[in-house]
Amino acid sequence: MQLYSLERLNFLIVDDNKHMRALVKTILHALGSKQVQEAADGADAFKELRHFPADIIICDWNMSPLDGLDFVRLVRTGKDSPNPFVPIIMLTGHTEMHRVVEARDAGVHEFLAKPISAKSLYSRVKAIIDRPRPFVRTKTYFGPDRRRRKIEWKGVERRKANQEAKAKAAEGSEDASLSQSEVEALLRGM
Amino acid sequence: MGDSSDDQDATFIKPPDTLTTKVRMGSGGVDMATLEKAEAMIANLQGDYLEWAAEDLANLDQALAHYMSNPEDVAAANAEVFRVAHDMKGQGGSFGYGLVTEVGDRLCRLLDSIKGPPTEAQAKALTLHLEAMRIIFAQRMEGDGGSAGQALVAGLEQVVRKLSSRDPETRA
Repeated sequence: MQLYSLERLNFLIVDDNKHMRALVKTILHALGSKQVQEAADGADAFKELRHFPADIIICDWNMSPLDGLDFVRLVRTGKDSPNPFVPIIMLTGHTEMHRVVEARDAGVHEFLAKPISAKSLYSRVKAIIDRPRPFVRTKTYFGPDRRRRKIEWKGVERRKANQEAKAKAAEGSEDASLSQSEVEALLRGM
Repeated sequence: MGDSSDDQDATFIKPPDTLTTKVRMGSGGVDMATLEKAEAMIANLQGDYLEWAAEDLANLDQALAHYMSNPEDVAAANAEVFRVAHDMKGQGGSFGYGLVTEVGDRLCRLLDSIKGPPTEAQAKALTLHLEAMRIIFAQRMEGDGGSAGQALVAGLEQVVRKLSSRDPETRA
C-alpha cells in the first residue's frame, strides 16, 4: 500500500476558535506536516492565501465576518482568487443533510464532522490525495466534480440524488444529524 | 443547483495534480503507527483541554445569563450561547469527553427551538444544561460518563420532553 508523506504539503487552517486550530495543528504536525498556517476567519484566510501556497485548506463553517461557506465561494469564484482549485475540507459540527448538500454546492472537496480525531482528519486528507477530482464549470457552479464515481457523465443521476435529498428534507428529516460515514455515503451517492 | 441546461453546458477542467508528487517526495509516510502517535498526542493535550473548557464554561455561563436577562437583541444573545455550546460540542469528543459533545448537542438543539426570549421553563432547562456541563468537568466524567453520565443525559431529556409537551414549539 502506498504511504503518503505530508511533509511537503502546505496546510491552511481556518477557524475562529484558537483551541480548535491548536488541535488541528497538533494533529497535522504529528502526521509529519511542516508548513501549517492559521487564519481566524474567511477574510484573514483569503489574505493569507495570497502569499501562502496552500495545498489543502481545512476550514470551519461558523466564523465571522466571513464564514466558511462564503470563504469557499470566494476561493472558487472570486475574481482575485489566488487558487480556485485548492482542495478544501469543511470542518463542522453541522452535519444535517441540507448543510452537507449546501457545503458541497459551495465547492468543498470533503466534509469532516466534529469532534475530530487524527484518524478522521487523515482519512479526509487521504481521500483528496487518492481521488484527484476534475473541476466543473456550469452557469451556476464552479468546483470539484460533485459526482465522485468513475462513470460516464450522467447528469440525471446527480439531479435524482439531489431530488431525493430535497424530498427527505421536505419530509422534515433535514435536521437529523448525519454521522461521518453517512455524510461520506451521501457525498459519494451524488 | 444544476438543471438540465446547466448540465449540458458543463465544462470539465483537470487541475494540476501537485499533491501526488509532493506526498511521494516527502519522507516518513503516514502509517498506523503514525496515526496512533498522533492520537496519543491529542490525548496528551487533555490537560490543556480542561483549561480551555473552564474558559468555555465561564463564557457559556456569561452568555446564558445575558440571554436570560431580556436583552434588546434576543436573537444575537441566543446565537452567542449557541456559538459557545457548539464549540464545546465540537471539541469534547476529541479529548475523551464524549459526554460534553452529547450535552452540547442537546443544548444547541434546545437553543434552536427557542424563538424569542426564553420562558421561565425554558430558562430553567437551559440552566440545567449548563449545570450538567459543570458536573461533567467537576467529576471528570470521561467518555459517556458511565451510569452517572447516562443518568445526567436521561434527566436532561426528561426536562426537555416536559417542556415540549407544554410548548409544542420546543422540539429539541
